[in-house]
Amino acid sequence: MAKKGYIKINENRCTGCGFCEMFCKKGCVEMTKRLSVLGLPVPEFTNAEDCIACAMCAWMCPHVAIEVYEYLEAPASA
Amino acid sequence: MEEKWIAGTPKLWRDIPLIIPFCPGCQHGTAIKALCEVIDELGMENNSVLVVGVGCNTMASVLVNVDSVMVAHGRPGDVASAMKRVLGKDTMVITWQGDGDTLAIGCEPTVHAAARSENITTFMVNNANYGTTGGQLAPTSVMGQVTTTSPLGRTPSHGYPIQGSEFLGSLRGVAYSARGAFTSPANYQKTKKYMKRALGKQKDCVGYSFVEILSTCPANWHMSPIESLKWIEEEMIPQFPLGEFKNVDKIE
Repeated sequence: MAKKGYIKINENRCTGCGFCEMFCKKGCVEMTKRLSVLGLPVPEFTNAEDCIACAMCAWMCPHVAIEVYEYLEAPASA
Repeated sequence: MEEKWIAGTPKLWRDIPLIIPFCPGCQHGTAIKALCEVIDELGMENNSVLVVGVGCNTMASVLVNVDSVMVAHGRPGDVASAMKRVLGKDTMVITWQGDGDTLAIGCEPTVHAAARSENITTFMVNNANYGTTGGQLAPTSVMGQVTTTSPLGRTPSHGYPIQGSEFLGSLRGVAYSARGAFTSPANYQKTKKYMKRALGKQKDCVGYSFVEILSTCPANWHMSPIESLKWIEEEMIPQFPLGEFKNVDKIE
């Protein structure tokens, strides 16, 4: 299946609350134990295949750390 | 490969070279993001004024890229009324307040701005305690809630919570009154719709509009961010039901 979209996580804004992991219905975002420069745990975009660019992670992110992009045409490699 | 930006930082969000000054899991940032998007959708980014009070809500004046003024504690209702009368109907005057600012110290300016049917919009972010000063009991704390000043839980001797949306919705001068929350993506969209309708009432010169937004406060509730979202759903929403309480097109 072609990829539909991807997200970018801005680690300088993220405070590691975990709402993105909680509200992603596709399980594409996971919290890690890695710490950002602020000393807070950061999430990672782990499952790029299933992302449908529904933007629920971006809506629920309280610190506006997530940008969602949708591919207008399927990537050539997929 | 072409790609399209779907969602993320709103256009009106001011990118400050600091950490965004909210605790992990605090949904005040979500509320400010919704405000930025709503002002942008209404095309009022160049003629809006934001009046903020004192508290965690003061950060809205830093984060929203519109003209803003920070006034004395609890007095945004008065200042916004005066500004609206001077600036006229082309300028949108919005007050951004917390629950202590609106219903504790600022109860009189808020209620009388509503009673005079001033053509302004008040957004109240309700986190059920005084967040900035360390989580004391607020007029909006729910029954049984443990706070710094009610360690055994809120009892009837502390009084009962003020339900701002129902209360202001019962006044004749109010054109719109609603309560929303951000506990799920569906609620996020509904709350944004309430905010848009409230600003629409001001744009149409109907009268005073009020939206209350339930927000988490994990640091002062002593919960994890995810537990605090569940706490809103289980404890707060039964005592502060969501929905629209008043929506009229003409004040009479």
